[in-house]
Amino acid sequence: MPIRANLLANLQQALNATVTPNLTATSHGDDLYEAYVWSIVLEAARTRGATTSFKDVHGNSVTGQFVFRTSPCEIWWDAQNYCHAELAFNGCPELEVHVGIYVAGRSMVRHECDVAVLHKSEADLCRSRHVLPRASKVVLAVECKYYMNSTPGLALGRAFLGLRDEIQKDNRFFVATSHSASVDKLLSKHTRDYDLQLSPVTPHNVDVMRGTFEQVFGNFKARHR
Amino acid sequence: MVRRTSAEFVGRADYTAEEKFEMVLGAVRAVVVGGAKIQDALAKTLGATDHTAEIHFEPGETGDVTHSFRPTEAVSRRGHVEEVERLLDELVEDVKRAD
Repeated sequence: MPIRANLLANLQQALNATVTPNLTATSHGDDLYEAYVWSIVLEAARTRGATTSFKDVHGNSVTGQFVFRTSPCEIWWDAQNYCHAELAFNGCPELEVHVGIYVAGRSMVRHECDVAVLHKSEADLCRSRHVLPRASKVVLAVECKYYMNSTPGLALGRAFLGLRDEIQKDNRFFVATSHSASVDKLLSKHTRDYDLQLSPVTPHNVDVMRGTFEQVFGNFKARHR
Repeated sequence: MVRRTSAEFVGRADYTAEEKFEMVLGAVRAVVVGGAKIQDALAKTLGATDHTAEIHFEPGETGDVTHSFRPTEAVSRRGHVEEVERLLDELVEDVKRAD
């Protein structure tokens, strides 16, 4: 049976309407991907009862213009009006959720976190004193890898395992859009906190990861009751 | 007595038509559908319904590439994304039947 009449033409028409005109070759899918994982973390927090608000680097409320970092920088850096989310669980310390900040590892060397949830008190201290957040105050961290034409290399898997040692093992996640058998094998020996096919086109995987993040927030709430 | 030794040679095998089709399909789903859905998910999370709201991506310590999009545009593409997914499923069905 041949392909349905007009199917390809209809598909081309629908694709034209879907392609984002401002997502050009120079803009990076990885920027969007980190912000997307950030949004999954927020959804998980909301499901667990958090109220959320959006603030800029100066502490002002953000309503219309949201700015995400495309490369990491210090949490206090205000070259642009970078935004973050604040999470408030009833009876618990407030938290902040950032894209692309540096934190201090055990060795006092700075390490980038693609998505980081940390205590607001720590974030405020760091912004006022221009110091790096301590890894012990990072509740959840995610490393995000957006691959379209290739798969994550083994070096990335090794680097992530090293990072877990540097900024604590608990609640450190590795997510990617493209599966790699070698990275899968490596990470599976050391952690369950990863997914190598996390994207909106694999909604089941997104649901599972969101559920894992919900568990992190559930444990956070339980510790502070 | 001659000692036999083994040798390995690297050759080239072109992608089959099926493999090429799967690659293109994967690319369209990942980049076009996935990209649009990511923007839509961000728009929902931020709850930015004002047509003037914008989501910007600005460099941190390194880089100089900036880009942005309006959440309302992402929302308006939702129906088209669903249509693309439906048509891609039909295409896969037709190709399987043709085999």
